[in-house]
Amino acid sequence: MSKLDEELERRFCTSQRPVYVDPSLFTRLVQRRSRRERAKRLGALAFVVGLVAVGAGVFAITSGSDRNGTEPATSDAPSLTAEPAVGAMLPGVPYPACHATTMPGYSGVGGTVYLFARGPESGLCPDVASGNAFLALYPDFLRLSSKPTIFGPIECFNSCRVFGSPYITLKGPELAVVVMEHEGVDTIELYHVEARSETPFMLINVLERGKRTPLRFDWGIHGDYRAGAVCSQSSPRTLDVWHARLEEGKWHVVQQFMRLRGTTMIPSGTGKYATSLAGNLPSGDPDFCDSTRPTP
Amino acid sequence: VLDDATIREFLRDDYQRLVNAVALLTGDIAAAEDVVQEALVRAWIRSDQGEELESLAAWVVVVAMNLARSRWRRILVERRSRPGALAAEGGGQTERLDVERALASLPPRQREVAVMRYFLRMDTRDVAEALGVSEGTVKNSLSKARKALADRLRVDEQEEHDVEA
Repeated sequence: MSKLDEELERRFCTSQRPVYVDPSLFTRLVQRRSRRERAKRLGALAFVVGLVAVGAGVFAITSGSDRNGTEPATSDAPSLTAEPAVGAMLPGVPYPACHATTMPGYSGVGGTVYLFARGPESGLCPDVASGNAFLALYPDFLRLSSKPTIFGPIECFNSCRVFGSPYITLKGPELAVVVMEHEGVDTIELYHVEARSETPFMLINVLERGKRTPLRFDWGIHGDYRAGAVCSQSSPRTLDVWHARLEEGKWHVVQQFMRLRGTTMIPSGTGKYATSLAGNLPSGDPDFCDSTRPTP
Repeated sequence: VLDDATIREFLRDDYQRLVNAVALLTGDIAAAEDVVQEALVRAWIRSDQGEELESLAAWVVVVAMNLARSRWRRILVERRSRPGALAAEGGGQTERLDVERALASLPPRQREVAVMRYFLRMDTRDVAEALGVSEGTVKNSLSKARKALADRLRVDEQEEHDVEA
């Protein structure tokens, strides 16, 4: 070993800090493991509830029974169930923003990201779709006082959702925009984000159906709207990209399932259910199947 | 299979070392403890599900590093919001801070390889195996990291040349 290696070893060694090992650490780890396993079981339960709800919806439709508005139903177009009459005004955005979803203080970017549809000055909001979908980035992490950079329109077919996807490429923070069409997820657009740049969003990849992709998403939350993507570890491993809106005391959940084979994802179905308990929203491992495996 | 005894043994023999290794990457001992504990819990669950982990310590350190990488920016943001934090953590240990700063200037992969090699004293083959890359890739990263660290820590280059000569 060279002197340089020896010196580096010495410097690294002397940089050790004392770590206090709490005598109760083992017990706390056992509790942490139990919480994880319980969360997974709940996730699996929510999945089953979703399937049952879908089944009930199919039965209700095929049997022609009268549904009183609260029964779950199947969906061939995962999109928001409620359309606000007019868009909201976001600071610095010169037109109404419809169906805005946000990742407030997205740590990967160091700012706050919005995805929304450009709304008319007056009149009803359009769906978020190709031609009117925009991304906005507020570089100020804590406040929305700074002027946002608006980017778009982005490709969005019939609907799209935004997720954080840090470190997919290991080249910096990214956004994954999940693009829906009538049958479900069509593509995932991966944007590299440079918060301080004049052009902060750069499309670096479009992940199409069946293409290999590592997956790791954050969450979108806005008022009575929640969205996420979780992974069911039970076999076959399934990615569940979902969104839910609270209406009249019930969460109306729309799910897009994608089966994972290795790092390939294959859209495998959609589902819809309603629940009054927020705890019944899809849950699972947000780190996604295999994202904790060592990455090459 | 990871049983209670193995986990206790890990906590006794490896835990502090691995927390320190991750702390070198994050500069934050509390965050390092959290990710090592999280990685250990995940290893435990995987083992319960029947997955074989050849080396618990190697698996935990790589997963903890991956977790630390994804939390790194959040830690930076938190630090910026409380500027006194780093100084308070420092406690006057300038040598450690020098090492942490030198490491922070490296790309993630070089940083991780350097910590595994110089702090955990793993050889290049073990590092390659743990990271799932070729030994050549590790050697390449290590060579770059070594040069950059020597430069930033102002290790006597002349001495190094004398040895190599």
